[in-house]
Amino acid sequence: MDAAATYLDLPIPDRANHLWRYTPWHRIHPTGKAAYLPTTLAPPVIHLTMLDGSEPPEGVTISASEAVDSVAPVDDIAAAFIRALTAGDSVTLSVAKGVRLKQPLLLQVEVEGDVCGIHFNHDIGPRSEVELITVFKGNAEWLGVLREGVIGEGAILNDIVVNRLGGGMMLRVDAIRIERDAQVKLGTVGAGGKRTKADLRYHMVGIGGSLEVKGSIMSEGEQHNDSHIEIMHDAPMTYSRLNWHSSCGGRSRTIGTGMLRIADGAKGSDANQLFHNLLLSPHAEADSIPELEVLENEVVGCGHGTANGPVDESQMFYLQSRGFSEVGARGLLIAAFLNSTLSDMGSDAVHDWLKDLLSGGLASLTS
Amino acid sequence: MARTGGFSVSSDAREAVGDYKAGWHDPEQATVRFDAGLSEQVVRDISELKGEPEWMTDIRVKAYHHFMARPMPTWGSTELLNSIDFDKICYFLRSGDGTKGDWDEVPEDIKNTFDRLGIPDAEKKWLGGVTAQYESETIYHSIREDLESQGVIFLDMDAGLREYPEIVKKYFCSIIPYQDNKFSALNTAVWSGGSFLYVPKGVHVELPVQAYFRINSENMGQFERTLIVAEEGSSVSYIEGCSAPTYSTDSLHSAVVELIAMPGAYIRYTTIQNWSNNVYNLVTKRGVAHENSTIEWVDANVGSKLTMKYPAIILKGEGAHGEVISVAYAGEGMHQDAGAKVHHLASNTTSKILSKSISKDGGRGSYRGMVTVSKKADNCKVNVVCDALILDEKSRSDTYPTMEIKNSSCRCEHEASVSKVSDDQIFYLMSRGHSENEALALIVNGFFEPFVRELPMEYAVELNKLMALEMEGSIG
Repeated sequence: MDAAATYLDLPIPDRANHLWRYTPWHRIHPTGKAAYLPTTLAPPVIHLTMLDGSEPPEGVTISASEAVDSVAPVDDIAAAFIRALTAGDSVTLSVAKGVRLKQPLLLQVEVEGDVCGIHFNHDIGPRSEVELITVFKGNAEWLGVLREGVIGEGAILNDIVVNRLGGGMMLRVDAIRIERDAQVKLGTVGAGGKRTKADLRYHMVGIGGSLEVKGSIMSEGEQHNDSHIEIMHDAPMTYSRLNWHSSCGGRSRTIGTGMLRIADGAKGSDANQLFHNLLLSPHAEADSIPELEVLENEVVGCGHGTANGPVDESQMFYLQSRGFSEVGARGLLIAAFLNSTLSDMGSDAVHDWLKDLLSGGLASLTS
Repeated sequence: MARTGGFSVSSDAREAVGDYKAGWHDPEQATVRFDAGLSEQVVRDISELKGEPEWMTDIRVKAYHHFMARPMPTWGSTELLNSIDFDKICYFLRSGDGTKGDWDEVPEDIKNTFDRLGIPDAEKKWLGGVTAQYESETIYHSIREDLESQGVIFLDMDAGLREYPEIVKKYFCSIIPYQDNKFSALNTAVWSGGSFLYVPKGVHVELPVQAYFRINSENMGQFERTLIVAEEGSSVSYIEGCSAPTYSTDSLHSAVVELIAMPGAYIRYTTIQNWSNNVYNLVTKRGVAHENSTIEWVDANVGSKLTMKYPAIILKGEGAHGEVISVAYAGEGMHQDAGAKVHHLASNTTSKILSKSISKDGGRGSYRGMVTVSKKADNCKVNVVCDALILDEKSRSDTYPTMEIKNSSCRCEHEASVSKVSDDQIFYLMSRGHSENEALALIVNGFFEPFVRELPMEYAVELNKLMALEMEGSIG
């Protein structure tokens, strides 16, 4: 069965499934009609450079490729839709075994037009060390991104995705496999797009793997940001932390649903997830469903937490007593809230670069 | 006599039923028994048998059609839910010939059952009133004279409908309409028994009142309906206990409980559910709290094949407070899918949810909860804590909390943890002279302590003993 037929054959997901509770499939589909499969795609413009603009070194390649082994489940409607859009073609970013990059890679994806779909395949070789920043920008009405990949044994990866789209919709699906002893940090910076649905799934399949997932989401205006993060501990002695910070201004809505699953036999797993929502406007809304499924009793620990609230009045008072204006104090506290996850996403160079990139967006939340 | 779960059980009865301590049964002595299966005629027959007013019959029939049309939930333990054979269940069974006010008039066999469970003893010592339901109907009911003289009404639900139809009509289905879910529709269609408790303005019921629900027959469905109304400034504490015999076939318990706390009132509803593990326990419980009132659900789920129960509180009036404290024990063949729901509709409302669960011998404990804060509810505070212990490799624990916050002034916190009993704790207690099992029982009792301290002392002592018995053989 080809990719289009596979998608059309799938049932529309039930809203009883938390993944689709707040953003049902028809709301993130480009036309709202689930049975419709767009045939004309606007081609994305993809640039891969080092952060300073130089060419990537030997051992780092990006190339078009045909069908690759699927990490995302075949019955996942979002992944199936993007596969159908891209007709099974993908772009493979490959980092060879043992390559250690001295500065971050910058993958810029510019999208225009009505409907745009990209299928990335990240092949991060064993024992390599990579920082990768992926920036989506442009004014496409709809963008679908499927990122599949394997992080090889002992690899160290800082993978940061930045959404800087204009007013369009974005559907993002991550399906990443983390092999033995790999150390992975995955950061998501959300600052653009009118509606974003992210379904991020990480499978810890190798013993000793470590994963930190960070989110720093700025929502304002009428934005709708729905992020679902699943972390599967399938192997023993695996470690994961999820820390997701969302600031919600205007009439925006942010949603954080998570699933932390410890498989039977994943002894010594250590897992924790936290969702924090800072509510900045009387019309903003924040929803959280942090789920746990634990099938193994020999765990180091497994927990989750959420907290929602406004900017702390006592902190505001303190800063104003030290001479800050109300707007200044508020801006400082919001920046600190978002920075607490942003600063953990990568090296200092990456952090400074992200700070500069996002400083404009922050100003709109403080007023 | 061994004492378990708040009730006395003879040692021969315990031997007969294995680990479950209330699993014996008496020979069925039905005076009225409907054939298994559900139809509109069954619903009409139940209503006619009880001599109900027309409006109640109409609601029952509408609820029946809703139940038939409504699909089974697609969440939770769908496999177990879909295995319920509604055609094999008996929807009405009357034992004896009506509710007695004198314990000596209760038929001998039924009296023996409740004697074994310790009900009359408890009443004499520390209860304000008692209702005992056997199969579909209440067989014994009493209330202390001093409460009655203050205007407190404590009746079984059938008598409540007969004697106070205007109050029942006003509140029946007002908090949980039959359209709420498939099982509230089923209960509304075939309800029988349950409690009707009305506390007048300003009256404080100092001693708790208790209802005890017993399923005795095989393939039985018990559908009690409870309505508690606490008028302005009043307070009451209600305790219910449940048990059933162990059979190879399944029984269904599907209750609906509606609580109304008027301004400044206080209601505490305590459940000690100890069903045998052939019972499906699918219960809808919800209370509405008006200005400055408090509703507390204190909920212990120790048995059943599948429990799906999420006590809910609607904080409707400003300054209202809701609290749900629950414990669940999921042993072999059990799935405890329990939790809590709190809806903050008004400003300055506060809520607290504390959930504790233990999974053992392949059992599955799930917390499923929901907290919503509406747009107009300013300055609400929410605190949710879920802790779970998994005691062996075969068991599992899940947490599915949902939080929907539509007001920026709300402070909402949720935390959950899943862990095992640490070797360090066991080692420390053994170094102080305890055996491994004693050490485990102590740790488990400590884990449940925040719940147990909310119980009346008699229940707290017995629950500790019950958990100690359940922990026997957990190590080694």
